[in-house]
Amino acid sequence: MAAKGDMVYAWAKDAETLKKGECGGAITALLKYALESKTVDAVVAIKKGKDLYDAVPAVITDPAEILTTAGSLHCGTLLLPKIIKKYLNGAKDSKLAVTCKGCDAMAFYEMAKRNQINLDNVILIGVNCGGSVSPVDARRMIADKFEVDPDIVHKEEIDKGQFIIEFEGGHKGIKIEELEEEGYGRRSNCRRCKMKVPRQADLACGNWGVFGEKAGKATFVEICSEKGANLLNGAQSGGAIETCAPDPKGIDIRAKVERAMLKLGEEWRHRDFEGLGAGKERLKKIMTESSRCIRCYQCIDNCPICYCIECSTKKPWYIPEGTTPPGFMFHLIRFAHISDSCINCGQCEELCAVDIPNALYMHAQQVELEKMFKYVPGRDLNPPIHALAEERAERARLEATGSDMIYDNVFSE
Amino acid sequence: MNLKYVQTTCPFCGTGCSMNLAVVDGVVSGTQPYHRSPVNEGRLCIKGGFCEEYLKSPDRIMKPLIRKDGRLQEVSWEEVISFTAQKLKEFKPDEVACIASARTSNEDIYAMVKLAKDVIKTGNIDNTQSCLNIGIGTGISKSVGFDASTCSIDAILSAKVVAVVGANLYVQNPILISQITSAKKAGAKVLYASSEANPTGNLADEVVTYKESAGAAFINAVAAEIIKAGKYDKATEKVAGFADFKKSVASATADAAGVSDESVKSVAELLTSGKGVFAFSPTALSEAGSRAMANLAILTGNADGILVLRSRNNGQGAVDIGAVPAEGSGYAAVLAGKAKAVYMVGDSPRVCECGYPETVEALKKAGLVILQDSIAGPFMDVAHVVLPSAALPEKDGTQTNTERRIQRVHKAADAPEMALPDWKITADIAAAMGKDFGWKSVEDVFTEMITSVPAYKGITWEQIDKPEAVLIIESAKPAFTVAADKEA
Repeated sequence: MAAKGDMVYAWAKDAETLKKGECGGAITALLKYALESKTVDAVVAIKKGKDLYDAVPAVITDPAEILTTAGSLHCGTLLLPKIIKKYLNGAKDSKLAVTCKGCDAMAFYEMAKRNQINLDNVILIGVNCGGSVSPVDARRMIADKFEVDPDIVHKEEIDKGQFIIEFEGGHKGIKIEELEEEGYGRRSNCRRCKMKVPRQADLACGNWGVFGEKAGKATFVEICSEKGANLLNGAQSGGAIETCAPDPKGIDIRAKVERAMLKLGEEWRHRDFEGLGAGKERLKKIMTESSRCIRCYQCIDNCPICYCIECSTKKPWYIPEGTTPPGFMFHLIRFAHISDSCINCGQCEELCAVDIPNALYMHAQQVELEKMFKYVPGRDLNPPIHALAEERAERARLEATGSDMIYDNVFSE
Repeated sequence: MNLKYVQTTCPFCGTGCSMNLAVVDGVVSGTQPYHRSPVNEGRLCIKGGFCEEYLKSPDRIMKPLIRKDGRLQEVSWEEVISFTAQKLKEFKPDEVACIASARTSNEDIYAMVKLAKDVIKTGNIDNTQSCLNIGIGTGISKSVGFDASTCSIDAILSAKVVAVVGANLYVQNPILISQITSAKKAGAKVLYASSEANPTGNLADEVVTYKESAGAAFINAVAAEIIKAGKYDKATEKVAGFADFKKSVASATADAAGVSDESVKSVAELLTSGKGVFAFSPTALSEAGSRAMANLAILTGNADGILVLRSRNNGQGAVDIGAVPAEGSGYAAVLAGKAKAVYMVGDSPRVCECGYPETVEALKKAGLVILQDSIAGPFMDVAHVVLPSAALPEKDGTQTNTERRIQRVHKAADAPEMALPDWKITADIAAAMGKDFGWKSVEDVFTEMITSVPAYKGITWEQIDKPEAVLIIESAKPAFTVAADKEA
């Protein structure tokens, strides 16, 4: 019986899952088992949409459909917890098993702290992630840099520091560093990411460190919680997966890959933040770029930290109604509300209608605040810097008492 | 617990962005990005980004209505169709005006054009873009051979010069700001010119605010300056109409446009500094201004760099399919009170009410007003018959964006109560008037439609469903056209 803290190699027992899933199909098998055993009501994962550049979230209740989510899609830049909050009532009334990258896992935690998601009802199956590439950028990169028609590519992967494509009649890999020097490659937030193995999930899975005869045929699984151990043990005794002890060399390799990725993340942080300058220069840069804002609200709508029912940016005394561009106050409100807990998921930047590097600005502030207050967002369930109040109740209290002292009830003895 | 993403194209402006509609248990509950779109790559503006809101509008029209005793009253589809058909027959063909909506699908517009041409046999055909500006005319078709863009939106990315004239990108086509910003970062120079100062100017290296209605005058003054300085593409001297054009702009002055000579000089300098994309709004510039823009593009060697910015999601489709008037007909006939019966499809979702008051006044004088729309607006007050139509995300079909990319519209949810797709309503009226169009599905309409639009020939339903869909970029057949009497 595996327990919290253990590491195993795992693979699917079922022949079809073994074939269609990646690295032995362990995750696919675990998800299928979670549904079949009624451990969860639904699985939320990513599946291929129109083509391999199109990642679509799938909410699955029929175990037979789980296979549609097999395999990884590096052009999947979605943030699942926000989708679960918006459309599945934050898992408050259903049990879910969800696959998650580092940013997803961090967002789950920050949203749980803000009562937006009930983590007790969610089994997080983490996957190691070296970063993702926006679909249209990936296609441009494949056409221009790989000189391959993106429509004939049937597989893409990131391995050993390379972005590799397989297509009709061949395969080609180019070093990520080379691609990124030329402005291609991963999203800028992914480059700066240092959450490569999401161990705050219940299971942290992936291909890093699968060595020896199991290479390519099994998934490395770190058991990070009791919930994770229960699922894995259940799936094993239920005949869904098989496991073996990991090759010690594999464990070293896994650590080495992770270290290399973290180093790369640190380098990119240095480079990106350095590029922003400091003090007035930084402020000026941020003000200039954000001045073209069209107030589309996509940064707010897709942010895992934004959760207010009444958004301050919509208060006419801060920003007059209908003003576009909304002026710097709009961005200041976002900085004030989010920067302490920003998990650098990149949604606000990737989806910005006018390409403002929002994630860079927010992330740059988060790392400074972390130095000051030691609050690390997304890692554990410690509360953020400010105390928390339930918004509706808090607004009702302010209304009833005529007080303008927010959080008064939280701080008063 | 049923969440489904339905990818569709935006019902607002002509940029042609795509989004995923998040459908929970059959109801459109939110709008999510569709990163895979070659046009917007997941980006959305505030209109497209919250599509679900207008679908839930309390003003949705749910049932067919006929005005009885001065009041619009609910009736059955059978009654309203037979009433409408019978009423339409009471007018002489040319007394009837058929106004298609540039907000509906290509199939919807095609149905209206077919009804007008084959059943009612009226020449009064138009689309709702004329409500914004009656003087759009034939656009740039005389200048380049067709009334459409000659380059893709992506052409902005590699341009050295980007000129935006007439359109306020903070109101229409806002996603283009991202492409223009990228071009700028790659070193492109940007001109923004309009009759009213607005934030779009902040994106530009050169900003010009010309007098109201002086768009054509300004553009011609710039052309004159370029010719004077000898900076034009000499190959264009062989283009048809060059001599006449040169003569006609010789007298154009900065003063006539209300701008300074220096400003015209520096714009001329900027526009001749490299390969360019010339983007403009035909509804802001009218026909004369549109042609002046085309002339300027041809003159600077950029005939294949014209981007016609459509403010309506299917403005280009309406033009391609032929819902365009001959001079003095269509909307003009409605405004002049010459159309006694008007069958018009509404402009929902409404983003502005430009031209509405005049239209309402004109419609008051018509003997029969048939309004087909998804959301009630000011035209309801003057309608005799109201036909409830499905909103764009409630039906399947195709629409054509500003760069002439024909993309799919996918049905995300059922239309409320009795509302039906526009093409179906129009076909039912045709059938009641004695002509069965024979369409069983929207695909049937599409199949017939593409054979009637030369530029669309040969494209298939399957091709359109791919993420890149079908982009038609025709090469310009340039000719200088001297702007007619009217100034823009």
